[in-house]
Amino acid sequence: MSNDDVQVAPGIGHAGLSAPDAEALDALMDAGLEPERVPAALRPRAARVAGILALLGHAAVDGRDRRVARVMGAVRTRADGVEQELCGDDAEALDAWVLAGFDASKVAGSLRARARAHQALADLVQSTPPVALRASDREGLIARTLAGVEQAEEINEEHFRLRAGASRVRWSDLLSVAAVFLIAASVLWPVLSTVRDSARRSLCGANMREVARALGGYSYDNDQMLPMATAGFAGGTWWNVGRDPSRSNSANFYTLARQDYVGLAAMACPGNPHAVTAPRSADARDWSSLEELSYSYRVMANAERELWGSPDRIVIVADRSPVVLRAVRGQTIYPHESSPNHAGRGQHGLMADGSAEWLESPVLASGDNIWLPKPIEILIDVVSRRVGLEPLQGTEAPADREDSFVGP
Amino acid sequence: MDRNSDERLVEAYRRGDTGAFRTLVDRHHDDLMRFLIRLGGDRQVAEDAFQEAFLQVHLSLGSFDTSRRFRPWLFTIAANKARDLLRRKGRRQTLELSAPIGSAGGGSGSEGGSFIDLLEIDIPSPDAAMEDRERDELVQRALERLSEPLREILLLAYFQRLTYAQIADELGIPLGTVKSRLHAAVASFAKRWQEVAAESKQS
Repeated sequence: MSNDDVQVAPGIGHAGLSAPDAEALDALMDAGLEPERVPAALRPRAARVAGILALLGHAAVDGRDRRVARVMGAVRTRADGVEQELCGDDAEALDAWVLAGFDASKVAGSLRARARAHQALADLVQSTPPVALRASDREGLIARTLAGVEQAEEINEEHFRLRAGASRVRWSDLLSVAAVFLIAASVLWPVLSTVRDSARRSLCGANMREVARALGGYSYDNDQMLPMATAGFAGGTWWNVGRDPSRSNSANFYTLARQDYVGLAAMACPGNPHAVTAPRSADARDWSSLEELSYSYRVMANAERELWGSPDRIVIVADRSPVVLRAVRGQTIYPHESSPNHAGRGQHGLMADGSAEWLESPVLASGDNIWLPKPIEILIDVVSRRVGLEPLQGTEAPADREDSFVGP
Repeated sequence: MDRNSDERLVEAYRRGDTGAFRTLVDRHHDDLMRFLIRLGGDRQVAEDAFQEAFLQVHLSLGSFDTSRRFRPWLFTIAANKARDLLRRKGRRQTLELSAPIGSAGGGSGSEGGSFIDLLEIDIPSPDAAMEDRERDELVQRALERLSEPLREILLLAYFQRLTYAQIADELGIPLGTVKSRLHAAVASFAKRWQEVAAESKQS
């Protein structure tokens, strides 16, 4: 009847227990391990058994509890949030603290202590981990981040250089081919080109009428405004076609297609070999390059009301500007040059009154050059009438309401 | 608006001032890294997400509306990047089966579904005796026991200090859901914190 006897017992059975101890253990088990509920005669012995059991069994019992707890914990982790709730005051304090801009000192007195507890909890999360333990780590990461951005920028520029390079090659190819072709077909050329040009010109004229209808619809629906997708250019460049719709005037014009006033096909001149007739993507906001663009649109530096429908002879849309094409490439401009869409023979101009006209020269009867804003026209007039001087910067705006000035 | 506000710096960077971008990266480094480490529980992932987030900021600069706040935009981008990275790594939330749960606080009241009373929970102040590293680890362990949506909303609220309406706007979920989710998130976190703190005392 020693403790040793009992020690062998737990979890195994009664083997080795003295008869009285075994009896006491059974009674204890029947009593739900509570010695007080064991019949008085057996109680002292049962109490001792219970004491030893408690002493030794702690780990075992606790171990089982832990296993159960672990499983419960796993289950709870999966479904957390379902069972945990803030007590009413804490919930109220949380709302008050958020409303006070996360400043516990601004929370009403009754909830302030709890709001501070929320703050302490947030601080606990926010102040750790100590990220700036080593300044070199911090600097290293910042340097890597900046280098990554720089690299992306270089790739981007490389892409543009390649594209610009490719188009230069294409131009010179075109020239030499054209030279050979000119000699070989010098007899046929005038006939063929006249036929082709007049076909293109009439298709282009039909486009102008479609665009005029679209502009009319847009302006009717939008408080007499012309299409404008950008917020003006604030003195920045507006010829970033395909690169930045917020700094591209053609994105303004593209609005007509994006909002289904007209199809892209009606904004593609057959005289432009790179014209596209379907949107590149559903969410496109602009043409993807200057080359794709067939028409130039009034430079929308500001939202101007009631321009469309006015009887003034202001050009709103025209065949694409050769001046912008040259200026973008940094070449000398020729202000009197006509659009490349129609082999330099002239261009269509869609007037504010909705009429489309064939203009043999970019200079209107009023003397206004549609490729340029007035200040540059005056400058050019003063210095020379023929040779381009300062190229267009791409930042200019129509000088005033009457100034016809289209781009890109 | 302050001349050096994030939004002004974004505008300056758009005009070609690269120094402005550096200032932005520098300014948000500490908070964003803490946020990302907390979100993913992995320093390497956090660093990658940090770099990708700023690259994305650079690439998307044209579409950023400077009348909005920069910081929530940055944190939302970063959270998306971190989520993608974790998914790519094939990491799922790991259940810490080895950790005993539920023995915290000693009372039976801490077991099972219950109401959390913050005043009964021991929350150390940042300058408490506990070591940085230890506290850091415990916070992470507690956070890892939260489900992903709860963890995200808790971190967004704590780090960005946004109003409910702003969080609803950023996450695109109804205001009422934000409120109830944040309540649940705070309650769960407090509870988990209590557990891990008790475990660490035991061991």
